[in-house]
Amino acid sequence: MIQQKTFINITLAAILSCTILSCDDLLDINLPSDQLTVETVFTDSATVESAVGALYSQNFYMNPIYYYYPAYFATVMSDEAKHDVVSLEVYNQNSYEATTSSIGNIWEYAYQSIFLSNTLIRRLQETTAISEERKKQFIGAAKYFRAYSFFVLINFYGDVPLPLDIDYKKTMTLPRESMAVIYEQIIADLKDAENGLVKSTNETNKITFHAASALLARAYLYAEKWTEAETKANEVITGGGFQLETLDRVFLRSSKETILKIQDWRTSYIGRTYWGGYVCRLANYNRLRDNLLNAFDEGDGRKTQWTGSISGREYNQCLKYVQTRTPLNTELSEDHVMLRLAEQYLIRAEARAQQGKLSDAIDDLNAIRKRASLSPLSNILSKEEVLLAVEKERQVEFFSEEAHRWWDLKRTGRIDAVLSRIKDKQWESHKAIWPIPEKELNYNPNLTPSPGYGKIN
Amino acid sequence: MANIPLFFKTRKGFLLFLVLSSFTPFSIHATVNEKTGKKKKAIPVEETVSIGYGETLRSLSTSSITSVNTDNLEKMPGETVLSSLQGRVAGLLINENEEGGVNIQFRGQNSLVVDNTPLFIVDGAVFPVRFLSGSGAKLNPLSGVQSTDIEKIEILKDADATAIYGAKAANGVVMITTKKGSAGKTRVSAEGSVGFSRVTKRIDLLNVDEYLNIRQKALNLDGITPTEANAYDLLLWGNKYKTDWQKELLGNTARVYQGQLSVAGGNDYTSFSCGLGYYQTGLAIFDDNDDKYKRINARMSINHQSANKRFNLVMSTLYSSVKTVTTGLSPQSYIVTAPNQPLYDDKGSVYWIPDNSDFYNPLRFKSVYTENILNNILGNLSLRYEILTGLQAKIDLGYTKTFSNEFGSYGNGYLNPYANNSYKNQAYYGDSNSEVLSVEPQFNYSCIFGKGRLTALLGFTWQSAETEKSEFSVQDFPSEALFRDPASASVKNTIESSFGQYKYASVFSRLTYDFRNKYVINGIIRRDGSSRFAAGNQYGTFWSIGGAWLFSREKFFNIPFVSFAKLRGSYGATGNDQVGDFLFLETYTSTSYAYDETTGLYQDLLADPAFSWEVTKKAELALDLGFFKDKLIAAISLFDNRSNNLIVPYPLPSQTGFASLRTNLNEAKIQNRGLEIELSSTNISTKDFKWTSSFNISFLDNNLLEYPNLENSPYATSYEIGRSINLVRAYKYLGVDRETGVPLVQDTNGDGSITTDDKIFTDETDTRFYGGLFNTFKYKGFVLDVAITFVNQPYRLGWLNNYPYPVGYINKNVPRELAMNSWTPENPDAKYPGLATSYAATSERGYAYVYHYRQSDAAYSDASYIRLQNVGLTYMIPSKISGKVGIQNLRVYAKVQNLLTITGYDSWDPQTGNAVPPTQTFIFGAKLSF
Repeated sequence: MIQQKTFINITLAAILSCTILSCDDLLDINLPSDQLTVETVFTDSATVESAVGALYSQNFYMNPIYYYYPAYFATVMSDEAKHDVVSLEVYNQNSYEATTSSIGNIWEYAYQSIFLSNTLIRRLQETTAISEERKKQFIGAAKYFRAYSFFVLINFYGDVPLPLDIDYKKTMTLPRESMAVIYEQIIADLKDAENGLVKSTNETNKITFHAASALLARAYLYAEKWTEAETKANEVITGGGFQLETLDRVFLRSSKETILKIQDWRTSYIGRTYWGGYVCRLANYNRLRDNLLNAFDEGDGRKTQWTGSISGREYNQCLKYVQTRTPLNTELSEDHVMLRLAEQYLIRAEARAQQGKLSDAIDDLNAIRKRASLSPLSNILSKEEVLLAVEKERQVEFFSEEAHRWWDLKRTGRIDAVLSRIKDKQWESHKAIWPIPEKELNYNPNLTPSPGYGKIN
Repeated sequence: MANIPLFFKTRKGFLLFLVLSSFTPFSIHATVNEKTGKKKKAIPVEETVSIGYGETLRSLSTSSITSVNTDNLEKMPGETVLSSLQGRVAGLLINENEEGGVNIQFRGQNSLVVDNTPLFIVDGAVFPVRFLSGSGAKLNPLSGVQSTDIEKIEILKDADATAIYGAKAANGVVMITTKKGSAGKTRVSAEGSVGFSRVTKRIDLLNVDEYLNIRQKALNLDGITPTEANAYDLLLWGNKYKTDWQKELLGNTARVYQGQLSVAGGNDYTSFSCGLGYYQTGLAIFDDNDDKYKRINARMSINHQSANKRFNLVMSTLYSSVKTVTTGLSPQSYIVTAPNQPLYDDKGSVYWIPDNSDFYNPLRFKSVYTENILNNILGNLSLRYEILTGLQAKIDLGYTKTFSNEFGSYGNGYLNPYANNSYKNQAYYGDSNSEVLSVEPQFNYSCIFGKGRLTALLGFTWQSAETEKSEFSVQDFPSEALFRDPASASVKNTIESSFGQYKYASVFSRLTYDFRNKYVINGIIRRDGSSRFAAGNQYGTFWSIGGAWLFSREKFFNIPFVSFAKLRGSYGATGNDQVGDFLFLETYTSTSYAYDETTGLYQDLLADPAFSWEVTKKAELALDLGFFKDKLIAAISLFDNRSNNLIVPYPLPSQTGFASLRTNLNEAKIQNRGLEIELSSTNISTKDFKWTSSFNISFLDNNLLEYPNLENSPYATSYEIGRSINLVRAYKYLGVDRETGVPLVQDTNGDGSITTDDKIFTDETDTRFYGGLFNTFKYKGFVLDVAITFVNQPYRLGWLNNYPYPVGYINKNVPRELAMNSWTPENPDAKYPGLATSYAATSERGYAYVYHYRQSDAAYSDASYIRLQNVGLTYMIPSKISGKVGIQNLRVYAKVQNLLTITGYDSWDPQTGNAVPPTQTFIFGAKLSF
């Protein structure tokens, strides 16, 4: 049977071929030409610089917790502003729940930013493509961004998970950590940032030594480390080379008061939806409440210069940023300010007042009041009165910037007293801390709901 | 005598009454072989069928395969391959979608997210039906292959038929064979047709007076004083203007032209076949020219055989170019514009409301031009050599290249002149390319082994595919005449590009043993490697085992009217790797914007290196029967396919930095089971009159079979064990509040407020059954073809989903039936919710209409339908007459597509949903050959 033999031979050949074919060369593919692997990126100094550049472009341009969300949600949650849009009604009334669809926005974006920093810190520690000095500088910048993201997170959600690893298998089940532990991490990150970063007063569109110091001063203040807060704010005020500007110049590109700003993206962003002071410009989202307008003292230049009604609208809005939509090719004169010197004065004032250095504190307050054409405060105020004066000064100085008013009311414990007086809010104490979004509770069984929001099944 | 399918709407069960009256036998069914013109006795059960790397006699096949031959395809000149298959094949559901693409689903949905498109093989080579999607249209590369170029199409369904294609075969295989030449006289045939098409569906909307009345009522009800801002339709327009938007936007009658020429011939050693075709049609939208869609095809094939017949060569090439032009307008969105909105202002320019920045005039789309040109080249070479008697070596080489260009421009007329526009005009440009190369050496061996015949196949595949795409957009041209010159634009916006590469290698073997033409057993094993997965997960083994028993050939079998009977069954495993390339890799990509002149690089994807293909295990049991000397042929198949290792974007908690991870759900299992019946019969056959019918019906049932810990998984609100994966979660609609007109929905958890927690699983959107009935009547020279298709899909999104405005909303017209039966204080028992001018939270009725009612089960409608898809009448001019002018064969024909649809669907069209309904087309043509 020749034919049967042939058949057996074929079968044998088939089995043999099957074994040979496991050679993987046949499946070798080139990497996508629009993407790079981790190894390629971190073995060349130019691509390492680009990876660090992503900290700025991904955070400042693409991540709304940097240019948009804190103010967007907090101005309407506090006693500062109202809005006229259905989707924000729950924030106006402080009636958000774990199921509110936008309640997870800050959470998601903050952790995206934290992952970006975590990968960079890890990869930069491993790379040999750049000098140790550059490495420290870049890691410093990454740590600044991580610190800021955690700062925003805990001041909205309270205790949150603290992922410092890049392996999702390790980070996906982390439980909530106390705010105190996270403040320690923030402070440690900012100290590392100070160590690595350069002292520059001109490069305010980048993370510098002074930006790290300024945020560190804020972190100390929020963590109620008064002496450290005073020292750090003092360093920025005296050693940074910044100076208070007149009210009309505070938000300009040339302002010497700016410590950190997001540089306008004139040439790259289509339609220019976002630019300096986005929330400030969203009239409908930011109709200033009488609570704020009445808080200004008689003759306060900030009320006349930074608020007002335009185009015949029946309400007042924030006018800190005034440049109108300009043709695409003209130079913008304003940038989105993230940190400015006035805050350092008020941090120092508060830290000093807390330590009983009342007259020094009043001096700091007066520096800010003078700029607003207000008379100096009397020197015979009590500690409580000085602290209230700081709170009010912060209210009228920083409205529509980040979530300052909301955060201040929370950390000073005055939130119940202030917000329960507002008629169109149904204020409940537990609303000061946002609920953990339902989605996160579903996806991570180790997360517990925030107090007062009940267990989601 | 007729086949009358009577079916009852069913939710779950298969309830069908098929009434078949008697089939009276007259004579043996004979078909005319197109190639030779010779009449041969070709009983359909003895035709050959392609089985992937080979063919077999249909009677001996162990597989589930449906063939559609050239006769049926030629009835639809000008149509594309996929549309000509509509309703013809049991198990294959084809739906044209909104973007001009086609959704193909084969025996249900096997995957949660991975592409469910079948594998397409053209002349033996894999054809990349990866729907290239651009800025505008989704394109189907097969649209360039016209149905008249095709000899036959075979649809391979079960494991036995598909396992030979291994990791790509889970969704079935569609094999297309183009026309080849054969020995004999050179034959030339030419065909030409003209026709027109239009949208016949019209929605009965309010006229101007009725509209104004409803708006006024709504404003009164909401206690709003009309101003030019909140009621410009009442105050500015009133009854001064009258516009029929359906006529303006969808009323065009488009012309259709089609022509083709083919030549075939050859001698005993070499033969050829070639052809050219052209097709063009306009669109129903606006009233422009007739060349909105143009297609050119060319094909050529050569066969050669050596004198000793041991060597054989087949080379075939296909080229097509399809150009599609649109204005980017979705007319269905704008036909609800107020009937009193003017088209043009007094000066004859497109109308705008002075100082109103939110207003849109649909005519602005006249300033938009989008163009897409899709070119496709396909070349296949197949060489075969017989080494020894019974042993053949073969190599198939295939190459396919698809390239497309996109261009779109938005002129200044597109913009509202009173709005704060960030640009003057803009344009985008795109290019995409894909290339597939495949090499497939094979050995075929056939011998007598014991008392039967053994056939063995051993083959290898290596395939390499590359795709590339780039797109960019620019704005602010100094002149709109310069739109084709991007360099002249003053602002360059975005540039995007992507790149994919895919390689695939396998070895496969098939053994078939046929014992005395009565018992057939077939086994397939294939080992596949795919570059879409990381090293270590690249290889998988797929297999099947099938058998057939031709029990009508047994001596004991003695039922006189049953001429053929076969029981067959198969079981096996096939895979699906239709995911994007490189998904197992964590890569760095560039940021969209540069900060301080530095473009960033960041990791944009989390990858699971263990990620691998989906596996579908298919079981099938079938009965093939022939009655009355095969005048009635029936195939009844039961199948049960189960997919696991499902590829999903698995949701992660955000604290990982990402929303999801592309991975496999190892333990989840989806079941698709069904019943398919295919019948074809020669009902009457006399000298002058012949009537043939074919009928098919498919019943489908999809279930999520297993999903461990579903309640605590991210999918708890999407799926339920034991129900279809196309499950809808919606509010339960309770009716209208008599007092307020607010639509009420069920407060399921009883907490006093309506939140998404109150949504419940309502029903499934699956197609429950579908099929077609095709009849051909021949009387002397006349042939009448009638094609009817039907689909049962009782739960689809309807009108409410597409038009999310409460009745009474500014500048939105509504169907008369809806408007006249909406709640008002005078009509408290109305069927539909109350009038409202707003859907802000402050307007209770409007808010509930949009956020509760529209998201309730009331938004679903029964989209089942029966459609008279095609009616064609052909007259063959007797050769006595045509022969005088040297024409062998001359036919004239007239046909209508989409003549009539019976449906209870509440929106545009039950097939296309809320998109533009299919057009009704009349075509008149002639075909001659000599």
